Amino acid sequence: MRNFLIAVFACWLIIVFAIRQDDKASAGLVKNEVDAEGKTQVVFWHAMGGPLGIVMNDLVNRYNKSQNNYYIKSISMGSYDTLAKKVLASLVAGEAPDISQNYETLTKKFIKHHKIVCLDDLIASETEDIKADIIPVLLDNNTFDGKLYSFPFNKSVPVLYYNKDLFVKVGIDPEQPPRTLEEMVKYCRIITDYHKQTPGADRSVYGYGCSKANVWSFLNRVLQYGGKIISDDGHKSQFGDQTAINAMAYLQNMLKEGIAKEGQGFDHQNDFIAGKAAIIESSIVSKVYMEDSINFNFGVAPLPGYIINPNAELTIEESEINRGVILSGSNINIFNNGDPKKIAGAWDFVKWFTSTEIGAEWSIRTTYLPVRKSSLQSSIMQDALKKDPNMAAPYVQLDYCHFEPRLSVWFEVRDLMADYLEKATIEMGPAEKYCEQMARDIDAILKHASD
Amino acid sequence: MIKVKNPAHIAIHTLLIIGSIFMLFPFVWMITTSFKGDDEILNTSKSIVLLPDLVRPGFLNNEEDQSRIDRRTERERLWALEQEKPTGERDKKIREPFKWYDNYLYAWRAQPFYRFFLNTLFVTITVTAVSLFFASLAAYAFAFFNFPLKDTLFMLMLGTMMLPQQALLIPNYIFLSKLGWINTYMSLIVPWLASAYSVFFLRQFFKQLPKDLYEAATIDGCSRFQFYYKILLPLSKPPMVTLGIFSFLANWNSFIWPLIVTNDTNLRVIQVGLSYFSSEAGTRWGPLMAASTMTILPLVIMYFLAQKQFVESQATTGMKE
Repeated sequence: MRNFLIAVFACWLIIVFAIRQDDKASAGLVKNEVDAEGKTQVVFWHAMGGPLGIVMNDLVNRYNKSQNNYYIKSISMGSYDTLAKKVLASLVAGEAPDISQNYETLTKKFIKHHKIVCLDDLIASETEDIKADIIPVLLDNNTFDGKLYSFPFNKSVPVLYYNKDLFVKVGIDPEQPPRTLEEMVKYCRIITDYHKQTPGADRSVYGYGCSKANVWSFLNRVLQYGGKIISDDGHKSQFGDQTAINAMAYLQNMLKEGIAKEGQGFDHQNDFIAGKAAIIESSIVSKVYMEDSINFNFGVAPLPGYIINPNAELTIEESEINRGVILSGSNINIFNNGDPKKIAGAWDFVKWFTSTEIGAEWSIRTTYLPVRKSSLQSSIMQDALKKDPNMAAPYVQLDYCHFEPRLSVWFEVRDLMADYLEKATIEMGPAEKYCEQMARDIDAILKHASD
Repeated sequence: MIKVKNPAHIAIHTLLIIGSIFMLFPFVWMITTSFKGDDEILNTSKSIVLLPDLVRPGFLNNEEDQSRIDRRTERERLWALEQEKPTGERDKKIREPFKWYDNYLYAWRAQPFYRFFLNTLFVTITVTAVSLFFASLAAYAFAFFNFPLKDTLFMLMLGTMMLPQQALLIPNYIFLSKLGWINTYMSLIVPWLASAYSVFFLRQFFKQLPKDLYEAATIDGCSRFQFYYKILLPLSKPPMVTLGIFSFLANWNSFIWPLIVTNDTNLRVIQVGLSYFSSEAGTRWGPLMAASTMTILPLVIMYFLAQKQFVESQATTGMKE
């Protein structure tokens, strides 16, 4: 036993020594790479991991080298959930970062407790009219009571991914992705039936794939059917409306027919990569994750819409298609930690990151939306779009893009919706039933919500 | 013909073998997956294929596997052709084909895993050693001595076991930040140095030892600490080893706490490193499995080293004198 203890102690000493060595080595490295001394350090917490984190770190390093006043210390917290927890805890402890990514609901809390800087004050000292150049929906999304409190940072939209090779195989024009919800059902039916009926074909191939209890996708469809999410005063949900019932029944019917499948988490993406799911709905950001693994020709298209007033004499091209998508992703807050130099540094970084060129580059490399209109028109963006037409779908959808209600109880409401959506596709009862119950439960929450 | 002493053993062993297959399966799957490329991991959705393409004998391949292997061969050929051209003229669309160690390489490079390992080892060994020392001292006091409020204190201590860790996360964070310990090794180590469970476990063991032993030692001139050091500790090797393994495992696997209290990459532990491979828009299964395999390797080695002690302690903890 004594020998064992001595051995453990020796190991421990070696580890301590190795850590000290590593500290020395990395201290030298930091010095060589960027001279952080004499610069104001700005702490930036984010949730970008994997390929997105690589792009983020690359850009942060470039910013640090580009000027001599500020040093951005970027720290990844792994996920939005942990990030939110850490930000809240650090605020209570008085150790908040200088900048962090956050959702709108948190921003509202921060405003209430005077924890963040109002960006209008910072923008006021700029010579350039930055606000006029921000994409309108993103500006609205970050404006609270007429004032800009957060900056759009990594916003994404949902898109359709479709397998062009499968389209060709079953005789659908691969350059004509489904434009309406009905057309999507039709395509899915053709694809599924072809694989069920043709001898030798892979019978496991199906039309449409999505994740279970997908609130995002449901809300998109509510908008596409011409519906609304909540009433204007924010105290009543609109899920009892026919539009919401249609949105729910749409997926139920496809599942019942066997032309669509729901999966857990990213199952539908894996099915798409494997060539089993012909069409899937996912965030545009998933493109970065899937691209390298896809071995067939694929297209990225805007989500389909719905013809509210159908006219039998008109073709789909001539009809007015009602479209709607919902933004996802987070914004960036600048915390008021009492040091004007740090606030100035934080603002300088945010400005640089969302500037025309860098914003375009961020968008091209990660597929997140750029913040500025001028990024969309910039030559690097235009060149990139020519090279990869699949990049265009999110930008096309900007014209009819909305965002979810920015209520403090919204995450609670979302959880509740997920429960009902899951129940609806497991039990497969009439959609009216689930929508009514869902509306009733959500209204009970909204009634007592303060904002 | 093998002679079976007790027919019940056949049933027991069959059950045990089935159980061990269930236990081992995820590990085997994890390890084999770590040697597969993305297309291989995701394409075999109809049935579970354990062996990677590289080592699977040809007769096990179905049509899909074969077409994938053919594609790979084709890619290798194209890649080799491309390599013959000068760097500037190569077609960038032709990507390097997957090699069996690629996931490990990617995982190791994606994060400073060397440092994560050092941190985890440092924290785990320190916490395990010091918490065992503290727990045995406390248990010694609770088991052998009488002092005012002894039972109340013991109950209070047991009460801390009932609180879920999640409920303590934020208060503990605030407490540590007031101490100025956030983002230091202190925050990773100090909160775990006292463990109510270990104290309870050891106290129960000590209580089974005859009190006469203590009295005899005292008569022979043993001081209180000498009794602890010379008699109690050598006697309680099995429970100490058991607790040591539990504590080691718990610290090795802890995730949320280290994530919350550290900010610098230099202080991060391996479980936090593992979480970097999955994110909002997908999970890189290959590198994640490679990193997981690297992560459990030290545990497996440690388990084999301590296995003899572990089995022994499991066998004797239920025994009375």
